[in-house]
Amino acid sequence: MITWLYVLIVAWLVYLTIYNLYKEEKPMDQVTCAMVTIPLLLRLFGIK
Amino acid sequence: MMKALKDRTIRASIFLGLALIVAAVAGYRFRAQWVDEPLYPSPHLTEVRMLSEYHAPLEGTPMDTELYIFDSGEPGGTVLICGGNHPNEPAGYLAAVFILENLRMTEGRAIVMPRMNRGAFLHTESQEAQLPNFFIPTAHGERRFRHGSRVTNPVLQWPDPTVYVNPRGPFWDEIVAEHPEIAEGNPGPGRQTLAGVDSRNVNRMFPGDPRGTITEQLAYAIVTMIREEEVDLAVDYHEASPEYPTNNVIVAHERAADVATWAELLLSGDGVAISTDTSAMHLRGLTHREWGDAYMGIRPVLLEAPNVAQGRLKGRSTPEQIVEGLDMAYVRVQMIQKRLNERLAERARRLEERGRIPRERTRRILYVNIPETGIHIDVRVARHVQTTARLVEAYNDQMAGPPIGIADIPHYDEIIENGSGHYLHGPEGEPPAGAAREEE
Ligand SMILES: [Zn+2]
Repeated sequence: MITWLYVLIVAWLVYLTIYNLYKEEKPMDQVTCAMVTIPLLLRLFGIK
Repeated sequence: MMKALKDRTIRASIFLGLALIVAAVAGYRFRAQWVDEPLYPSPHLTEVRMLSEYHAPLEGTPMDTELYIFDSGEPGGTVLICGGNHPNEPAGYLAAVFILENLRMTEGRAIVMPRMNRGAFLHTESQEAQLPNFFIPTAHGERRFRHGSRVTNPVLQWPDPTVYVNPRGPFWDEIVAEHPEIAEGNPGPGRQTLAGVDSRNVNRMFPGDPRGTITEQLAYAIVTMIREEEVDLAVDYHEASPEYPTNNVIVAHERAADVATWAELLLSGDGVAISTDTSAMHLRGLTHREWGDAYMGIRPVLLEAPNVAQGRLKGRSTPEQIVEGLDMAYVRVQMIQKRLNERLAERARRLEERGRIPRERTRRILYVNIPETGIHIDVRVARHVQTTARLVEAYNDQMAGPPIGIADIPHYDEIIENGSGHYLHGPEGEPPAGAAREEE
């Protein structure tokens, strides 16, 4: 069963990904962070 | 220094903005898959029930699914007809909808469950570039059907375990105590180690677990329904990729083997070539195995038809792949197979000339013949529908249980000639059965 703990872990991953998106210096690393955010957001909002 | 930081921040905001747009568009499209397409049952429908009536915790969850009941009012047996066990097998779903929209019972009753794993209709197979819908032309315009996944949407059940062990279920011990002969050579359900993703594949976890994951609870609810409704004959519609050895086949529990082989014979008279496989005792969790091992009165079978769209060797995803069953990648694979076998035969001949025994003469890559015109969904639906009609006939011929009378199901030849869409209905007349849920 899905518990709040799992949802919190995803929320934490979303936070870390966006944090790194602003911290990375090379544009390609920033693009990677942005792309990783997409599936994490879909999971966080219970869509896919 | 400050300028570099500012540039980086601006760039990050632009990329984040783009990611949010992509997530919103993808999210909107995925969310659209949560709405049930309306179905239009035949006027002979007597009752719609939800599966949660047999296992209350499913109520109000996306896994709850409709059971359409056709009661003739005459005494007789009960036949269960299921589609959507695997929503990525479109003819399996469409055949059940086809039955639902045409059926009339003359003896006994039918329970039609077109969307068995509703939770797997709510998304597509991930990383497969899968098209989310397919369209069937009907007299009421084109009807859209969802082309879902093999497994429950992961937002309903995650994370997957690394290894999945399927459940024993609560019925086996009780059955063995009453009928010890069933345990002969039969290890009973569950206790198999499977891939983690199979923890969301309902067809690996029957008889389910009332306190398990939501997919295990779905399996438990279905088996409970079968036992409470005393189902006599059950047909579960599937499709398989051309490289999968089990295809164009009736997979039957040993209790259903006589009915299936008799149906196979009747089908040869219809020009439908099909064979019967006996359900293996060491492959657990499947409908044709576990429904029969959880309730002694049932004769369960599973049907397979060939579908290129779910194959590993398929080409680019196109609507033709799903509906017309047409994929040039498979035609090419078939040519490679032919050339390979010509070479193997030639080598075998040369070895035999020198008095040696060749190790192999043929090698199979595909287990069905793929014509260059494809294997249309109408053919696949017609196969399932005709096989169902003949299974019921065989069941009655053998007096396997109380009589079951089905009517108004068109013959295989008629479905091929007119197309399956000819027999599907539209919004006129009866209100669509899915309408109530759509408003939610
Ligand atoms: Zn299947």
